[in-house]
Amino acid sequence: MSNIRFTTTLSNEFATLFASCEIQPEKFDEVDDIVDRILADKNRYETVQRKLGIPWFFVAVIHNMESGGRFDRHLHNGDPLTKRTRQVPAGRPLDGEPPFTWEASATDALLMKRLDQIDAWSLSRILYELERYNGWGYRRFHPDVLTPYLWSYSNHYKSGKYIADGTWSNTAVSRQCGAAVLIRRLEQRGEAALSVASRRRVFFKYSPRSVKDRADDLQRFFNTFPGVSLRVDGLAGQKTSDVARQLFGHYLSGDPRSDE
Amino acid sequence: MSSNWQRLLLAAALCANAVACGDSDRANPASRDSTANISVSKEGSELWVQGDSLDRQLIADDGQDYEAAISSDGTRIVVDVVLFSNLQVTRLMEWNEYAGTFEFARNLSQEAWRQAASELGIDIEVALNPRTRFVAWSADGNEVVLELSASTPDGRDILETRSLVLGPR
Repeated sequence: MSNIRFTTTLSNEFATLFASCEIQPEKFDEVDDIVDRILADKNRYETVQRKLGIPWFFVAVIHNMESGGRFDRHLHNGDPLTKRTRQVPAGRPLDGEPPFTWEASATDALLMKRLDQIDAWSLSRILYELERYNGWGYRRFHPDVLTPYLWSYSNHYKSGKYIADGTWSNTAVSRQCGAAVLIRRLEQRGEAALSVASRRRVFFKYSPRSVKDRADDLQRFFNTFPGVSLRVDGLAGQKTSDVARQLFGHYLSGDPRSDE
Repeated sequence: MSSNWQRLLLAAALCANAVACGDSDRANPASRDSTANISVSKEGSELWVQGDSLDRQLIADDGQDYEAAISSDGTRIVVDVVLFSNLQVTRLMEWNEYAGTFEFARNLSQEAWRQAASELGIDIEVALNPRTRFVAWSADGNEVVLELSASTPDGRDILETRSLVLGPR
């Protein structure tokens, strides 16, 4: 199966999906339980991060997906660490002798995928690499279903999956929490340091003379509050900034009155 | 119960036979092929087969990784395919004499999982990280042993061996 390139379009798609990702309320406790378990072993994942430069939570969510977070299994395919892997990829790790430590096995699995060669682990790149790690089958053959490997237990996934024998079922539902959903919860709990650039980005700036992307959405949102009535024109000028101050205690970024 | 024992004994016998044959089928498939002298090779995310009287033929390109095992008469190939990192299946390819190519014949994973699901009372739609892998051929190439592994959402591990009858060629 040929690879899918990490393009700007794909990067934006991942960013948009993540920003709008909501955990299904009935799954919330289960997600939090998994996140608790991941955090209990954070130091082991950080060991791999220090060695390979791969974010610890990327390693953690793959570990959860591939072998249920068990530290007695190979990250490659869930085989026991007491021997080299038997399933494909068979005979891993190539170096060393069994029994393997989980860290040695995980390092081998991640190096095999060349994940140590990635320079910038932005949020979108993390999600791209997770989907690539699992495989592009959903995107290629069932593009109407977002892969449950990332989005199961969220508003982005309802049903449709490949079942055990490799056949497709429209009605089957994944019973495994998606990797992106786990990262979303880790982020919400302040544990996943995602792209600094996106964290510091100011979404809405004072702009009285030129229409800015999604400023009209902001004005519509403001209009839902009692007593607020803005013209929805996408110009984030003085009146829009006034409402921002009324609601949040400060003007829009760039409003000259901010310095007064 | 008795059928389970019979199946286990058969699987053990087939495995023992595979070991007794020396090198495994995977290690050097061509060495055990007395007719077509065929071999398989992985190239990136594709699996190819070729032989003395067979043009190079693509037999799988929908997976991430593969392993293949050729029957002793060179007319059948069992292919383990990693469809997703957490889903591995096993297929049977058979030589079509008229077409002069190997063709997909059976989804062995489907047969093996159906057997297991029925006997163990599991739902294969919710099995986590399901994988099947080739274990051994029978000496006559008419049966194949597969191993199935998965876990259930409630944390139960599944590790089963199944022998599937392919029938004579």
